[in-house]
Order: sequence, then structure tokens, then C-alpha cells
Amino acid sequence: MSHHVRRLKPLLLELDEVCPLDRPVLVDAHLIPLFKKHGERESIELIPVPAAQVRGLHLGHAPSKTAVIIYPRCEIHHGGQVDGACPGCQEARYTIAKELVHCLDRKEDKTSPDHMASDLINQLVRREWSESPQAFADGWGELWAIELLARFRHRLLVRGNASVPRSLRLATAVASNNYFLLASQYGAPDDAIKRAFSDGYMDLMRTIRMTVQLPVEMPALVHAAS
Amino acid sequence: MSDLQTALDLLKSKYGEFDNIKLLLGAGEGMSKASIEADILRIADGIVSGEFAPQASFAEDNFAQMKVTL
Repeated sequence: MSHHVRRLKPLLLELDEVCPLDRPVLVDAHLIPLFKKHGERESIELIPVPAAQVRGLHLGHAPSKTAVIIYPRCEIHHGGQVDGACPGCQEARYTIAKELVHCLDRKEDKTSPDHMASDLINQLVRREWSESPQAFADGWGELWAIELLARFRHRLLVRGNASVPRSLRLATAVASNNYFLLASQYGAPDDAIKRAFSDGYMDLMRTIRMTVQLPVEMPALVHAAS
Repeated sequence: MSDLQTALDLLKSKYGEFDNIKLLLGAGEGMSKASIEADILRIADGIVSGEFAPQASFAEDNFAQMKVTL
């Protein structure tokens, strides 16, 4: 698992430099430029399509430094402004983030057209992430999409500790099992945000970050009343 | 020829070779290899025909004005 975060580490660090923790991460302004730089892509094309069984698709070609990302368009805001509270826009942002992560795949994580035809689709349908490095990389793409849109250190602030109270938004979300308000702030799907704030997921991310010396302490730059 | 092979050939005709193809599947019922391959073909057809076109920009100006508050 650590090789994924090693590849992402410089990007995650730079993301925090270009986007303050108390601002939403933007696809166009933040993620695309960073993945072009760290994924060595000259072109990343985004193609919105009507949602169906395939939610997202990444077509990459490292030698020509290109990537094409197909994502589910929001049928309400397609062609207009993204709304962070809209489930369709959240899904689009999350899918793009997930597929961008694959710009950083190692050779052994990549899925060739032949492998996709023979094994990968069946593995993904059965949710057998550990069946192959390629399926594993697909699963990890979803985790890293969460980290890109709802950053770990901001989640620490929201969760609070002995010196910083847990946010009312999180307390309300946990009590009602409704993560809409938090999800709206991050512009990511409710279920992804619920997962992001779970104890198990936070512990996992803390461990992974510590293996590559990414910061795991709570930041001081965002105030509880901001 | 399978739907997937047809789809990949269509996409290659537009973009050239790929060395990495990744999928994100929905959580719906009734998914199978065949139904997913058919969906990939739907997407490939739409891209090649021009029905699905690249988005010039992902407009987040309004969202960018927000703050992630506690």
C-alpha cells in the first residue's frame, strides 16, 4: 500500500501549499495542474457522459503524456457552475479525482486492454480488490480521491481533540447518520465523507501517512470559529 | 468481436494507444461483465460520434468562494 502514497506524497504536500486547508479543493485550479506536473501529463482531457453502470474511466498513455478521464455528468449543473451541495456535482468531482490518481500508477498497477478484457472487469464486479495489483490500484484510487477532496489534516480539525472541540457539523452528522452538510463543504459524496471520518479509516490513513513522513498532526491555521 | 473489444478499437481510433485503463463502477444491482462492456461501448460510441465531447473547463468559480468551516 505504501507505494501509492509515496507516489502521491509530493502532490499532497504541494496541494496544501496551493490550496489552504479551509478552502475546497478544486478540480480545474488545483488537481489538474498538479497531476499534469506530478503525473508527467501534457494533456488531461475531461469528458462528461450520462451516468450508467460505468461511473468513471481512465484512459492513459504515459509515452504520449496524455490521459482521458470520463466521468458522470451532473444532469442539473452540466455546462454551468459546480454546486458543492449537489450530489451530481459531488459524484463528478469524486470520480475525476479518483481517475486522476491513475496518472501516478506504476507499471505493475496499470491495466492493459488485454488484461481488462480477460480478468479485471470480473474482479471489479465481484469487488475482489486484492485479486491483482491492477484491481488493487483501482480500489486505492477511491481512497485517494477522498484524501484529495477532504484532506486528512482538515478532518483532524473537524474531529477535534482535547484542545479543539469536535465540530458541530460532525457531531450532527454522526448523531443523525446524515453527512450532507460536511459533504457539501468538501464537494464530495456523502458516503465517501462518512467513510473518511470513520475511526478505522482515520487510523488507516494516519498509519499510511506516517510511513512516508507526511504530517499527521492537527494544523493550527484554521480556527474553530472561521 | 466483444463489445469491449469494439469499444477499445473505437477509442484507439480516436486517441491512439493506451497503456492503462481504469474503471470506476457504480453500486447498482445487476452488473455483469457483459453489461459493463456494453456500457463502455456506449461511452466509446458517444465519444467517437461527438455526442460526448471534452469539457473545456470544470466551472467551480462559485464553489471556490466557499470556506470549509467547522
